[in-house]
Amino acid sequence: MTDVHSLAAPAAPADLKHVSLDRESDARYWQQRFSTSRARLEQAVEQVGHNVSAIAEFLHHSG
Amino acid sequence: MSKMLLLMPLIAVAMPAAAAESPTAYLGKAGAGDLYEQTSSKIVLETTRDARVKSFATMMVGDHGKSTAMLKSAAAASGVKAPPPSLTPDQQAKVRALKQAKGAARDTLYWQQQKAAHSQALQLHQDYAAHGSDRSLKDAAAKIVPVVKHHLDLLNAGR
Repeated sequence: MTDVHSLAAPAAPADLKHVSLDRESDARYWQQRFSTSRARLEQAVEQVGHNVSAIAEFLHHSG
Repeated sequence: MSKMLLLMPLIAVAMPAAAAESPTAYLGKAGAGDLYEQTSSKIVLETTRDARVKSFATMMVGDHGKSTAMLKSAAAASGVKAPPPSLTPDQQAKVRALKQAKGAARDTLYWQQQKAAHSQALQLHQDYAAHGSDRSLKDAAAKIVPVVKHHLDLLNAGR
């Protein structure tokens, strides 16, 4: 009762500083982390690479 | 009628435990937490020469600024008033200790303080996201949880 289903967090990826969307659970972790969609994350990775800070910056400014 | 009376305790049991803070108390604690994260991170950024501390502290200034903005707009949407955030006496003492620490010792102390603060923050936001009474604040809390979780994951992964 301490948690609700929608809050169930995906397991943390092995690399916490680089956004990788190869594994489904990692992709879900980063989607939750940035409150964004899979498509936006893919776009971010394509534009600025995998670095977490760069992705954060990109998502902040583009939207 | 007697059937109704028998059912009432069952209904009470099925209700979620009223463990969450009031909207105002939640906003106060969350605001103080964000302010503390930003204040302590700015202090460590003045002196650190450790690349990991630098990148983590920079992330803290950005992310905790965003969560404050998110909570402010959620509070406005719900018409909940919250006083401007202020540090608790415990947070003030931690900031003082951080200022007094020098060099690499400051980095180490910062990392320890961040772990404790993020564990508390995760608990606060998770509780509100699960049991809070205000819908907008609850939604904001649910968005803040994975961010704080990521910070804690980074802290636990070590410097």
